[in-house]
Amino acid sequence: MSLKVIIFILVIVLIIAGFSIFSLLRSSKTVLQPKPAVNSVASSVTSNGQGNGNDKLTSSVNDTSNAALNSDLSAIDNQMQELGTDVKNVDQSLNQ
Amino acid sequence: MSKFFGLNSALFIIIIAAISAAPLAFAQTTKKSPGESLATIINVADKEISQKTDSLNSLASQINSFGKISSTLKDSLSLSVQNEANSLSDLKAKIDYDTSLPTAVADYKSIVDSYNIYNLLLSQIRMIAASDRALTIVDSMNIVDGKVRSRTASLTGINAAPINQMLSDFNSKIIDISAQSNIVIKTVSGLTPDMGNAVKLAANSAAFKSARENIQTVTEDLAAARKDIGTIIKYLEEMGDAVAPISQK
Repeated sequence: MSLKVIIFILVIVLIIAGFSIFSLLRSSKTVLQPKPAVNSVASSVTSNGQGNGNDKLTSSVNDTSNAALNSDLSAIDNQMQELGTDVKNVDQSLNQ
Repeated sequence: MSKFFGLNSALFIIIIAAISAAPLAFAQTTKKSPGESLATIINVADKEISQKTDSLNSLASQINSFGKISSTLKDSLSLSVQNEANSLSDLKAKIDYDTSLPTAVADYKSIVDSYNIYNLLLSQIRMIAASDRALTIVDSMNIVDGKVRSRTASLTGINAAPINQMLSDFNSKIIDISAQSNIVIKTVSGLTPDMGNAVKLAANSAAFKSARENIQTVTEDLAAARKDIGTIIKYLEEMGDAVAPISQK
């Protein structure tokens, strides 16, 4: 009877030891997993650099012709498009 | 009978022992030596630090391109970015010379801790970049506003009231865009990393949320202002000689 008890305890010990070692090895491997990439600036959508308004408008400040005004509007449209990219980048950084 | 029982017990023990040993045997095939684990951690840490350093360098370039931000704020942001880059560089030097696994693991975890500073800088600088862009557009729109006013000043025999009304609306939008953009800059530039402080984390989140709403207002105002000025210019084109450009009169 006592032999059966010893065998039973031995089996339990073996099972516990086996799973403990297995769990330990698994957790040590987890530490080595690379972290997901940080949302980098490099991965964001790029836009042109900023500057003041004069740099962006190609027509002369004194040129009030229709052609100059339309050229100015196109330049503003481009800047607004770049702002759209900036805002997307803002959302990307806030959502990470 | 007892012999049969003894045989069964022995078989049972062997099976259980085999089952218990199987995971261990499997794990032994994938387990790395301490030296290999240390090298892996150093390699992974170096890659992450390199990636973040590249990002910080891009942020530094972006700060330099700001045209509407005060030099004081630009210097302050640049210093924060540089400090973070230096801190990562020091950490890399330390990790590269780590000789024990626990130390390397602890150093690796400190990279994760530095995300707190990095993420704040990233959001701050991107919001300021959007505001700087909006203020740049305001400059452009003000120039166009001046040109349009030159044209409308010479209107003869035409009711200028509709144009003046649109110009007034346009100007109010421009003023609001400037105000909202400056609020964003002021709101986010004063934020500091929470470093695990829940109260500060909540305050920073609220500030970013508020600033994001300001940016939304800015984009809506810009769209409305662009529509106004486009309509005015189209109107001037249709008027032809009655509102001819100054240079042609």
